[in-house]
Amino acid sequence: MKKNWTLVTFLFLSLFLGQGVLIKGITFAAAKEIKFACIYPFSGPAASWGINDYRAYMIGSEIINEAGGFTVQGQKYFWKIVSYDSKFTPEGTVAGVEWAINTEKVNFLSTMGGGQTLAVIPKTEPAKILNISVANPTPNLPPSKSPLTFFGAAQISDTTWIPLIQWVKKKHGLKTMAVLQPDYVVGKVAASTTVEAAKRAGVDLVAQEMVSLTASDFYPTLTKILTKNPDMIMTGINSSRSASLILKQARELGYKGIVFLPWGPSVKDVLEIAGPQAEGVYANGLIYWDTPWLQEVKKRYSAKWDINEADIGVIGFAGTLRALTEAIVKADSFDTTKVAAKFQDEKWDAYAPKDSGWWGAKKVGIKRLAFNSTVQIFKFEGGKAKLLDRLTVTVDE
Amino acid sequence: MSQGQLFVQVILNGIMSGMILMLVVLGLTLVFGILHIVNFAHGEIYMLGAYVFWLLFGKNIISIPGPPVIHYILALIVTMIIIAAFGVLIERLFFKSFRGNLLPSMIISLGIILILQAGALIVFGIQERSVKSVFSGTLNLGGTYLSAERVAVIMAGVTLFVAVYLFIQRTFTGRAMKAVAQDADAAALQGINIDRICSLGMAIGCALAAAAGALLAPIFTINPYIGGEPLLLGFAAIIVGGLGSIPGSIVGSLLIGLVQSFGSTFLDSEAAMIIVFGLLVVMLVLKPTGLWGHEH
Repeated sequence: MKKNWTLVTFLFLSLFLGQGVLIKGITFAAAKEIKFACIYPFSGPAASWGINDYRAYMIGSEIINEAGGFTVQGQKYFWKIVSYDSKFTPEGTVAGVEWAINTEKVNFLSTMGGGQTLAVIPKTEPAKILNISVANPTPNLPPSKSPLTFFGAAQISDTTWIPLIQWVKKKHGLKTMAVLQPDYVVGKVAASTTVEAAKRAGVDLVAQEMVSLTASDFYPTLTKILTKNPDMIMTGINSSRSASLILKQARELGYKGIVFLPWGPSVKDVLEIAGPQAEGVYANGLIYWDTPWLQEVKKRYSAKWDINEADIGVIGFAGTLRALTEAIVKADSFDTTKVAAKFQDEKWDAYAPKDSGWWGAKKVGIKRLAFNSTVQIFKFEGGKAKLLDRLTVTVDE
Repeated sequence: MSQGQLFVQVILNGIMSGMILMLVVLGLTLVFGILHIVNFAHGEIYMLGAYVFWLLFGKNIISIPGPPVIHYILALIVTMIIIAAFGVLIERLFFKSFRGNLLPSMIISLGIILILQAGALIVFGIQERSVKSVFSGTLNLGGTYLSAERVAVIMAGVTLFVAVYLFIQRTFTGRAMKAVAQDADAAALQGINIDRICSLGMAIGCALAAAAGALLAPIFTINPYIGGEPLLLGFAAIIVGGLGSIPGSIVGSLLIGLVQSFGSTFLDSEAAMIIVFGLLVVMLVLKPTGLWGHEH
């Protein structure tokens, strides 16, 4: 009997202590607060994206709140950012959205990942929740059927990768390339867009391999790729950690060709994980603090965290909250349908040196697809990422 | 890369993966063999080992004069000692009452997984951590490649394995451990202190898991969830090699490493996992005791 009680007590304690750790947001002492929920991965391979995007919303809310908040129908409001670890899984994201809607009573939230966003649309749309999803729309994720879901991914691979591949081709006479993509729904979409991008850039895609999101040992996959002797290996839309490990292991296997990390890796990850192997590697989607607003974001980020941890999501989403706030003020309402109608016309400082905004009117009838009007090519030299070039991206409108 | 070089490279990749897995499997085998418990939290012990090593070596919290390789070796030894002590603690606190009792010990170990993962999240944070390697460069063996740091890990792994093997075979305490593994009651009648031997078995098992975590920290990255995959593959290796058998654990680890390497290279990583677990199912059906195991 004593053993049974020990077991029951132990189980109770372990379940209590072990339940998903919620990262609580900042609390502003204010009579009226409006909550924004970040349902992001704070653990697992995509954690660095989730952490940085969450920090971006924290900084965005700080700037707005310190400036006196915002007014809707004569009432002052302050933002409160709340968060939930989605673990980058559809089920974790659904649990987070249910928590945000039922417990935190939010009208506005953000989820990360295409498959994850697809899973929560049946929850967010009927509940009239505005979701700034960090995902690209896919054939499985039609924006036309989810009018309150905005697609705020930092990069659109089919539009950004064509000039990027063409740039390498022009500079290095690129003829063949190989790509490693993460094996999940958006990775598969990225794989098909990469085929198209390589074709349009006139480069032979000799291999494209899918790798597990949580993989650490890429030796077998890289060994397979190296038999094709590609001029360039791209790390696809793999996470910062995976891309850095791929780079390191490709060099360890004797690969001397071009390595391109096109999906916004963290400079810190690349330098710490790949070490000296990072020398000479190209990257796209790194941060570039080049407007007064972004300088302010940088200052606040540096005050709290190591600035080397920042990735492109930081400059993408601090401004997005400001744009959303302006839309709410213009709508003079928290009615998300009214806010969405205003939000689609907002512009803000983000990835491009000038305004970022929403596009997609021609494609889906409403401007809800974020775009990046430049591709910024960086090269790692002497332990630093240096901006080499900026390329204009042509979107379909 | 020619077909011959490719074949050799795939074998080398498989042996490297297998040797790395062997350290995790050896610890699990010892714990099962002596305590007769299945410790699902062994992967989390591996994770803790990686974090402790990151603190000692990566964050340099203990300043040690001399070349980095000395610091690396000392940090590895201290990590193993700390985690061995932690292993004794959890054995005394949680597993002692359930020795030889598989189901409660499994449930206990599942609880420990939750506690250690959440604890690591709180203490070490949610970001991936990495440790700089002290071994740089790549060995080119006629067109096939071996990174110096992986070679160092394999050498360290072999050294640890030989040390544990000699300890068990050649010392009185090691033979006492074998006696307890065979029949704890009979061993107790010969005057062997069962509690002491069980704690020692847990300490060595956890120290080996910690060594694996520490040795792999510079090769991969560290997060609170890194223990899952080695544990899963470790169990596959144990079942193939034979539960409780040290030679079986070596053969099982190498076999799993090679199957993974060939599967991932010539098919893809998902197919490799299907083959690994297909092999597991076949082994359970045809020879449930594994290649070197025996009935318990």
